[in-house]
Amino acid sequence: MSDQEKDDSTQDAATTETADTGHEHDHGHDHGHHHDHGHDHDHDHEAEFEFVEAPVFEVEYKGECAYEVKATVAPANEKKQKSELLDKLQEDAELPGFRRGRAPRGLLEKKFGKAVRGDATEKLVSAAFQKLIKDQKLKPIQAPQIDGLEDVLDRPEDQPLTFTLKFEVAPRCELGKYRGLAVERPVRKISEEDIENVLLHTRERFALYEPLADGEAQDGDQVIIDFKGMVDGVEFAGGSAESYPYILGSKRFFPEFEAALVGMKPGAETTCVVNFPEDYSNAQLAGKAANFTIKVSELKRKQVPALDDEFAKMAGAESVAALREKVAGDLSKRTEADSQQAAEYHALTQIIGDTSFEMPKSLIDEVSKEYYEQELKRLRELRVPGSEVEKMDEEIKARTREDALRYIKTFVVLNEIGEAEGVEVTDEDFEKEAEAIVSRTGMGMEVVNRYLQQEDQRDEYATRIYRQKALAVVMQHAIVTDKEVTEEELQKEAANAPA
Amino acid sequence: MSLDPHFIIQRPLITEESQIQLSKGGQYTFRVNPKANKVEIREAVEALFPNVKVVRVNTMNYDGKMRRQFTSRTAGRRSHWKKAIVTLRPGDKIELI
Repeated sequence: MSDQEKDDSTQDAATTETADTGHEHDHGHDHGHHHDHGHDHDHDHEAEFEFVEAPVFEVEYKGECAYEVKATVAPANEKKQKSELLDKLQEDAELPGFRRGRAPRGLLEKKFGKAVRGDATEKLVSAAFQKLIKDQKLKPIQAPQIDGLEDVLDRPEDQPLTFTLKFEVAPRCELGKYRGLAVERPVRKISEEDIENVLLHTRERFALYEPLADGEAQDGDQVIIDFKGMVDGVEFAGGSAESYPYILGSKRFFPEFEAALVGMKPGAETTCVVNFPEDYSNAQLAGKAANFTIKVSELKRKQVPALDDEFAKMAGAESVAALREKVAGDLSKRTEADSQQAAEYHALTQIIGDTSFEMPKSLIDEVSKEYYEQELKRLRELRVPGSEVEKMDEEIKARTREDALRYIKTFVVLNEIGEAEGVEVTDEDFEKEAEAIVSRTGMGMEVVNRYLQQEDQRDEYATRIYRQKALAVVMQHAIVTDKEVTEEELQKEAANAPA
Repeated sequence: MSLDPHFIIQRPLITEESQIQLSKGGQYTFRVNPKANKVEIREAVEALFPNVKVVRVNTMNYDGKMRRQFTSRTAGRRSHWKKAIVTLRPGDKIELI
């Protein structure tokens, strides 16, 4: 029993930080939170430590948002912190032979002195860091790297605590001109031809393959074929099929095979010889010639529906006229969005060009890496062969780094503008955003609202809306001139713009 | 023949009660070998802590508590022990904690 008790109380003292709050049940729920955020939030539920003698900081700015701070904390502070910790410990500690909270100070110090000292040091370091960023108004982006604490417990009590804090602060910038920018907005007029093009595409999408009783197969036709392939007089795996639908011109089979099919009538039979290339993926077939016998059982030709009201109804409009209008509306909406995006991109480019930045290296590296991995993933999904990717590696790295820089710069600039213009995100904005999501995704308003209520989602949307509003301010004050461009040019411009 | 003092003085008892006695009258409490008598205890304490003089020794015997092994139903007990409260000459001190 007594051993058990001893273990418990040892743990209390040895567990850093948790020990003091662990027994205050009303604070218990703060724990998860506390650990997630590390040092930054220590003051959330703990009175800030008041230094007896203010710590001395030697701040050194290393450029690129990196700081190196040499801190010296007088021994009196450590003494105070330690006695505060022991006070707390004394209230809770249960030692064999003593009722809870009655253990003598001397005994506690003898038993837990080292752990308490380590704890006190840790707290002093974090308190010093808090004080530093508060006094100097710094915005660190990560917990500091702390050096010089390795043999801190072996140092005599009357020596001051010295250590070095290394950390980086959030990127900042000297905002350039952002009001009254001259921005060119690429626009594109929707012509009749564009509408016709879209209509044609839609009709092709609705096209059906209609069987032809008679006629000769030509490019674009679908043939249903039975075929049998022989290499050296033996059938080979994957070389035969029955009722196989094949579209001429799709180039899925070898050209010799396709050529043999052109001009075939339904029910006809033919043969062809296919020479497998030397580097064919199937080594057994590579470099060999195969004899195919092909029988065309059916011939189907694509029938594009006529442009009439019936087709319009299939495409979701009342009449041909209504369909035309709808297509025109969709087109102009899309080009409008593209134009706006391109214009915003131009505006941002101007601001960024006119602004000087200081960015932490680690942040750039992190974002670049993220972009780089995204790009690799994208390439993999596009089935770009690995050897190709390797060849382009340097280029991809450089490009993703550029993207990352641009992203961070955009982010910083918009935040800065938002601050300068007093942009605020209101509940109204959230409602608008929710409506936008509803109309975009077709989810229920309730679902969207619940989704937006989640804390992390809310934060994310808040920053997004904030930036949108900042950007809106920029565009409001910009002098926008329209410039007509072609479809390709507009697409290219829009592709540049950030999502 | 004198015994090893550690054979007589087994360990100090540091409890709330012993703390009170310590602060009131310079009395130190030890768990001692039950076979030791007061004289032996005095000599052992003076041998272990050369700078102190023992004025008085009070002793009391404790019976070890009964302990039962639930897994094997065998009964047994903890050892009997003796507690000694040693009063030192005023001003003398032993550093126990």
